[in-house]
Amino acid sequence: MDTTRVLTIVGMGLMTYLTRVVPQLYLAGRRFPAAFDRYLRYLAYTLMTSIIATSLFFVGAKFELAAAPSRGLALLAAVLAAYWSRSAPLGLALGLVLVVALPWLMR
Amino acid sequence: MVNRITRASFLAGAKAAVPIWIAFIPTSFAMGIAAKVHGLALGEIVLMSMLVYAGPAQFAALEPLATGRPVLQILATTFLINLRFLIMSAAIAAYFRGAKRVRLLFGSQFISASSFIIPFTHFQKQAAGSAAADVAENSGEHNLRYFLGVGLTSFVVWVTGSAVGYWAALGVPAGFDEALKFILPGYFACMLAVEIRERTAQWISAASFFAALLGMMLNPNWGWLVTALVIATAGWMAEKWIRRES
Repeated sequence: MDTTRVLTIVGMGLMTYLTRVVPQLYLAGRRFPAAFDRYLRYLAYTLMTSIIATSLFFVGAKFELAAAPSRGLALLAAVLAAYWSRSAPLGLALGLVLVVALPWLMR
Repeated sequence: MVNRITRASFLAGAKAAVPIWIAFIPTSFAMGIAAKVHGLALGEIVLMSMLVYAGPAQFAALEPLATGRPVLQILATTFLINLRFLIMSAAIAAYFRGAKRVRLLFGSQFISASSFIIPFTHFQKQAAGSAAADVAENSGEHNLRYFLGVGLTSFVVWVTGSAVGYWAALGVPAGFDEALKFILPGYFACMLAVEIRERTAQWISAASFFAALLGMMLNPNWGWLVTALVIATAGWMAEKWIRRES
């Protein structure tokens, strides 16, 4: 195991534990404004979608141009299927089939 | 007698957690596969699942860890994504009054979005159904046991699932690289598509997706993080302003 990675993971664990334990000790029963709750929700959504975009289309700092059309189409189809069916596994299954099949069809 | 009640509370929590286990199996499995694809060691993903125990934050860290991005960026992202635990933890802590501090310190590790909802609604129903005078003296301790029944068992499923997923990825034949690369971002995108039904949140998420690509091109280390923060803040402020106007 890589030492830097392990230490980073331990740091991530500590960061996360703080957000879990501090309210248990000092903020029990505290109600936060609904607007703050909504802001944190939006923040989680934007961070998640940003990570989805970067991890799917980039390797390091390099944009993977050749693979972008098939991955983009597969992601769009997966998201639409999940949205309409309200089933994430179904959307993912469709996306997986397309992401494997599209590069072969586009050759 | 008290021991029997607390054991029963734990088992009741574990029984209520079955839907979470079912949801955790594919997600943790995909996490293990993605960790393998990104070149992490089995020990590293197991350690991450144990210490972080939060799908979105773990997913966010895979690429930066693999490509050696700044540690500060990884920690900042982890903190921002997991800030929502503050609200969940504060809300559920009200039901643990009187529980031993050392057990609270232990139990806190198992708070996650999934393991929060079931106990929280259970405690709310319980509180609504009983007059204050009827509440048992040790209700904080019993509630904590119930929560541990949900949280601890789900945690075990999560950690095991990520290890099994990693192991399974070792056996995937060559030629399926695209599927392996797609599996985790695809799954999280589908989960968000199912979860986000509000129009404002949908627009904010879509805008953030495209802005992140631009941000990444401008600055591979911090660009996407800045665009995510800016769009969340701008969208939230715009929504507040529109609500005030109407």
